[in-house]
Amino acid sequence: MKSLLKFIQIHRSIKQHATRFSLVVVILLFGLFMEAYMHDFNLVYITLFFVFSLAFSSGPIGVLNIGNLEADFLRKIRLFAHQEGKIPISITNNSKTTSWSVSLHNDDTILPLAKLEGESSKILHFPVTPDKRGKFTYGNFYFESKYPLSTAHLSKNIAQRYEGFVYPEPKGKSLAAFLQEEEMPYGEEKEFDGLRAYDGSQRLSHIHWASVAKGEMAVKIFTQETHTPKLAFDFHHAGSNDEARLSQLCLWVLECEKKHLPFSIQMPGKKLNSSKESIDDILQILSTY
Amino acid sequence: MNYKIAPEFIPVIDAIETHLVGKRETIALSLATFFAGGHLLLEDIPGVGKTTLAKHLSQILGLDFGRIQFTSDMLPSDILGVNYYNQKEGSFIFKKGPVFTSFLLADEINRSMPKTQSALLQAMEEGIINIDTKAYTLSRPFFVMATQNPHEEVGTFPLPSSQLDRFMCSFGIGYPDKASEREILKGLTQDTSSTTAPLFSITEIESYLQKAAKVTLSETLLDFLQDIITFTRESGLFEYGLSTRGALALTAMTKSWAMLQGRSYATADDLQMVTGIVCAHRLHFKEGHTTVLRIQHEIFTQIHSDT
Amino acid sequence: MTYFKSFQPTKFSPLALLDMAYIVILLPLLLMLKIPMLVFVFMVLTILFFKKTPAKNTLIMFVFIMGILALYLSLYGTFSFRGLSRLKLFLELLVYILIIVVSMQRLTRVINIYLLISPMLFLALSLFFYYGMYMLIYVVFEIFFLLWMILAHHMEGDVWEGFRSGMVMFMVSLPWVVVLFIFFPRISFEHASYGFKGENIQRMGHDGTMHLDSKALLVPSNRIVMEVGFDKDIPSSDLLYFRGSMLYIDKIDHWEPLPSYIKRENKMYYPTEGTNVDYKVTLYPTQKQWIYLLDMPSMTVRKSSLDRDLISTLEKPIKEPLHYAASSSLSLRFHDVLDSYTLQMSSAFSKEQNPLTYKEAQKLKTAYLSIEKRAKAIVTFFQDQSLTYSLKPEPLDINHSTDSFLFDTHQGYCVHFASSFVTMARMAGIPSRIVTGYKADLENSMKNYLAVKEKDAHAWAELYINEHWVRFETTATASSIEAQSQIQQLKESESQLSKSINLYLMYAKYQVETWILYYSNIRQLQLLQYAKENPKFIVTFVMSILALILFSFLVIAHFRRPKYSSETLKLLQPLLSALKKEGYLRKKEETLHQYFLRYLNDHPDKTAIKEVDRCYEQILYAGDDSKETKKELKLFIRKSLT
Repeated sequence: MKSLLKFIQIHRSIKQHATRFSLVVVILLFGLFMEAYMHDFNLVYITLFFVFSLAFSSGPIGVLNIGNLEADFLRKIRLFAHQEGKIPISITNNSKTTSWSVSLHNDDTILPLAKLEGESSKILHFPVTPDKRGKFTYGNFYFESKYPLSTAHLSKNIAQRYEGFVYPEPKGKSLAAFLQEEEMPYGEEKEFDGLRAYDGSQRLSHIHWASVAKGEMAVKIFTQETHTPKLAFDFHHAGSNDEARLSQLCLWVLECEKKHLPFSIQMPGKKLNSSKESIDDILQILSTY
Repeated sequence: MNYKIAPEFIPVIDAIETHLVGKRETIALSLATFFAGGHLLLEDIPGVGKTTLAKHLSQILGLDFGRIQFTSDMLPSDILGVNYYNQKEGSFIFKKGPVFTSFLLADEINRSMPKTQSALLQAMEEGIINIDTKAYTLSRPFFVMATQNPHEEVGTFPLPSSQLDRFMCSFGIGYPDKASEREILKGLTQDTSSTTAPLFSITEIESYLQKAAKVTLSETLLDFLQDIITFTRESGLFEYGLSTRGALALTAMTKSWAMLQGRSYATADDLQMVTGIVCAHRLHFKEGHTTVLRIQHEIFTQIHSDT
Repeated sequence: MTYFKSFQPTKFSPLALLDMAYIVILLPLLLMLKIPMLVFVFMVLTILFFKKTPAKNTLIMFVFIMGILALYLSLYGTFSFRGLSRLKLFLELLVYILIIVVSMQRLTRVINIYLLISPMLFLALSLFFYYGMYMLIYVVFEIFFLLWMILAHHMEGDVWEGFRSGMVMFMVSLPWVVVLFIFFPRISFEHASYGFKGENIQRMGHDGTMHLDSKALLVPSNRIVMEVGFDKDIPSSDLLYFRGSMLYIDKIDHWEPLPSYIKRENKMYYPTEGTNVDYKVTLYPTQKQWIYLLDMPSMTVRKSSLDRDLISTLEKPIKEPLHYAASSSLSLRFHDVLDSYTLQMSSAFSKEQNPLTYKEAQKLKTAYLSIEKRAKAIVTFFQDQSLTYSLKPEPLDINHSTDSFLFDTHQGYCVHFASSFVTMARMAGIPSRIVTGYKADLENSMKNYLAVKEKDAHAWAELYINEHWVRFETTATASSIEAQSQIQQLKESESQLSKSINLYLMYAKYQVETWILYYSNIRQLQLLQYAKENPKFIVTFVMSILALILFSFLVIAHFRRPKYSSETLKLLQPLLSALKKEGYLRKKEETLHQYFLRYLNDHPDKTAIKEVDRCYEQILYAGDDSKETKKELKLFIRKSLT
């Protein structure tokens, strides 16, 4: 009784649509019926009844196949405008039996889930390319399946929506170019500390030409460099318009994160500091500017 | 985590714990790394006891202790040794470097040039060093405990991932918990400079090394292990997946951890215990920071196992 | 089920699945294809076998032309627009066209909707051509197979999983099919009968004449001639005489019926004596016109004619299984008033042929005036002759067969007894004739079912006594029965078991045919009527439907049960679900050991679970696969559940 109630509940959450195979089944049933009725063929009757009851039983079986699936958005990811990001969705099968031939749909994307064993879950990465920065919600997901006989299209809506932020598209000058241009003082050259490989971001005057002559591209480093003042980016100097500025800042923030460089950004009216705010918080502020 | 260290190893942990209060698990994991035949990379800020751990561990195991403090002007020969011309005898004589020891503490490894780093790492990997066409075998067992300070960015040479792969495990020590710290502050703990008497003979160590290698992995566990490896490669969470060497390290650590608990077979719990510390320096999340706990959490909440 | 564990998941491509479906579906149709079409099919198969890439247009065109050619050759001569009105020809044409189209599409290796639905069309078409027990089994198999393939297609080609789900769906629909089959309203149309190819029988136990020489009707074959279902119990064995033909004329070495050009007075006296029985007969193709009815037939069977000798015939030889309902009065005799011609034909004899018998007959004729007593005296005379019933008698002197039989060899079987008895009766002045047909053996019966075999062929005599034709079992006068050759007897005793199994199978087949293949409006009404009269039957019926549903449910449960990666994990399931019910949900990252520990933390008294954990660890990780540990695990699981 309990399972029946549960089934009814599941059944309500699922929409069914006819497919072209439904039409085939109807025509077949009609044809077989004519064949059977005209000549009292018991074999044809048996075939007819089998086709009928199989088509009939495919309904509940299909419902059970898709009805126990649940989807959940695992975590927020960093999405950037005009760049494809992949939203991870965890799909859980709550029944004991395997679900087959299900796909995850959105308005314009289809992602096959194929097989999901009972009481297990799987993570799908749903591709999305947001077209503008800012707060971002993404929904209208639904499961779809033609299991078992392709005679009906079953779909189950997913109520959850992905809510997050789209950051500005990272674009503009690289951090190295910025440093070159700004001639940022990399500390004071006081005590020679050693050599390190040149990675394009250092000043030309620091190149260790002796090593270049040996075939290695190294730069000199100085102990004072350890006390490099923080990189300070200024919103107003970052580009020609707001969007370009945000994109530029976003690029720098990401590069700094990769290089573990602390930085600060002078935004109009407030100052962001990487040691106070997390990278994600900073990006979010850029996103919603 | 659930584990129960076998009685024969408890005195070891007790002895070291007197110097490194409240860090039993770290001590046990270091010991496991040693018995797995790997090398250990300790990543932590200075002053949490990295050196203390190394020193007392080597003493307890009764191994020769060598220490190299890495600096940026260090050369490979400072580690490996040099051939110098002996005028009296009129021939070249090899002067062994500090690497010729059983227990080597490579302090602040990321402060030296990549060339110097790779000289050590090659020695770690192969157990043999080549100088001027002559090969020298390192002592056996040979265990390197390297330390690095992750928060120092400038003036350091971060180890490239190909080099990192040569360390079996990597973890930090962390701050002591409140109770332990209070004990330390009270000065109740032993003086760090005191020495500890060795608890194992060299033959015993050899037999434990062999015992660890002989621990059996059941088919079920191997399935689980392979699921983990596949997950790191295919989930899209990491920049790149676990290498085969990484996978081998994972098996060796699992076995060793099982041996440390006095078992001749490994369980899924053993595997879970060591996965984070084996993978933390090998895997990099595409977004955000990579930590032992995060790796542990991501892997084991997402792999459905039958164990 | 551990056997199946060794199966690696077998994956097939959609094209491979479709091919398998086509092979299964086309198999019965291949039997009806004409040679040119078969050659065409073979050609397409060869191309498909060697060509693994999509075919070019030229090849498809070539196949199309070859197909049309094969179609033309296959239907050459039979084809005309008038012929198309014959359903069978039309259907054949449809099958051929479908084969050509499917071949062309298959060569492109592109699966389109037409290629997908064609197997169903082939199935529907093949139903026109075949009808019978084997087809019934095959059709059910075909339906299951198609279902299986469709499901496997949805399951990434995993045939084993497809089988499991196929079984579930099949079992879900089975009770529906049964209920629909029984209750779906029918109308009483005729069964269409085209397409069925009956066996060609050369020699029958009964064939309308009766030879006395080596050509004598002795066919000890086990082939079933007909199956009889009695509405009530089977009558006793001495009443199971099925009339075939009536023989009047003695042609020295054989007996013949009356020539067909002779017009006798067409007057019927339906038998009224004896108890009436109703029965249904399935007569297998005999290539003869006779249909066999139990002595004495009391009504004419539909479409047949019953003559005044109570012999029932059809206009055409029987070439396909025939079903008829009949009714007979079980009696030795029936009233008849002889016309002169019949009297003449049933009294004719030749004195010269059997002089010795004639002499004896004359003696009886003078001794007994009453015909009744005279007939009895003939029986007594036969009994005194110490005749031996033998299936391998010494050859008779065929020109004096009765004399030779009665006074020389003393050996013979039914034909010799009947022939001699009739000859002597005629000589003694009693009109008599020979009846050939079958005398059923109760050994081949079960409940109300009776199978009549070729070896049951028999001949007996009818004597005209007091305006009645009276049946005489002439072989009963034999004083001894010669044992058949010892080897044969040995064989028979050996195969006693297989014989009874055979009988069971025959009975099952008969029941299937009556209740499934020939289920009809009438049967439906009968069933309803029966249910009305016997309320008990309704209970039985409902109970059996419920039993069927229960059976289906069990099969479904079996095939829907989740699979576990190891047997040990399967053993643990009851415990795990019990813990779940207690509210301990296993976290995703928890191993079983951790899960148990968490539980034990709250319930330290549950030592059994601790033991379960230990055993599980032993089995799963330590490689301990001994029976004792498994037993121990089972024991502790049981303990932990209580």
